[in-house]
Amino acid sequence: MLSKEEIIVKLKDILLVADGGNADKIGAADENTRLSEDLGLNSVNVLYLVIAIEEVFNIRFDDDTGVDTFKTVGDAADYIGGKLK
Amino acid sequence: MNRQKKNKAPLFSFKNIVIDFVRITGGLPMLLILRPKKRFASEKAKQKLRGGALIIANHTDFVDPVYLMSAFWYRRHHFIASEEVMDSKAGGFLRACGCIRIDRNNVTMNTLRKITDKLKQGEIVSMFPQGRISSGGDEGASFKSGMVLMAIRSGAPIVPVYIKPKKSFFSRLHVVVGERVSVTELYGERPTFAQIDAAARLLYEREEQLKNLVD
Repeated sequence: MLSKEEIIVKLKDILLVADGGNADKIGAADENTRLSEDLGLNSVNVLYLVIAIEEVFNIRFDDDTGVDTFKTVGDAADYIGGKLK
Repeated sequence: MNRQKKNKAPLFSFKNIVIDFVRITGGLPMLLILRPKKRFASEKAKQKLRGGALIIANHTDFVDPVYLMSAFWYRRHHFIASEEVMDSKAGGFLRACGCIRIDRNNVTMNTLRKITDKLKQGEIVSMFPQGRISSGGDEGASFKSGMVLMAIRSGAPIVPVYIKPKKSFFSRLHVVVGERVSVTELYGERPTFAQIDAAARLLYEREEQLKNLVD
């Protein structure tokens, strides 16, 4: 069972691979970092992130998960933590 | 991300009974009325579409789906339609015809899975990546990059098509078909955000080139 901090580290790894040009912001991100306002992710980027999370964490997001489901890195980590239980 | 298996769409399925009925009964009259004239960007573009593919086209008229179906009459199409259209009175009929509802403001995993499942099953999914009908000088509106994500997830190629705007419904239909683009071959199965945007720009440029071939 991964801790929230470990999940956030993995999330940041996914983001670093996908958006290397934004490494400074991603490196400094914490659970309160907002995906769109602070990291500049658009709706397609968020969906990409969701797909990558499914593969990396081997979980399946609910059908109604959308680009508005997660506002912050912490929201995503909490959701993943809930699915991993 | 998963690569597409070269699946072939079933010739008949009860799930597709309405869409096939519409294709069979409406297809011949439409071909006679529209008399589609297809041009191709290259010899490679002439290859018949087999297996799953994502057809993208410019959108200047609400009957563009009919034009696309006439141009590729030999394949069953599943159109991606906006929430505005699918929630209207025609929504039930469109759903029975295989259209897939997309909420443009909040695309869900359910929508993405429906689209990629169709592509993996070897079906044609058709969409208008400008996201709305463009007219009155904004025909050149850029493409949204969501289509690239669908292509990556399914492994299906994207086929750019240009539909020449018609003066009247009964005038001859002219379409130009471009070479198919495989995003996974270009950028691999896990492209970066920048590469996804680059793929959307490339497809937009291809569309502009197709437009120049017929205008």
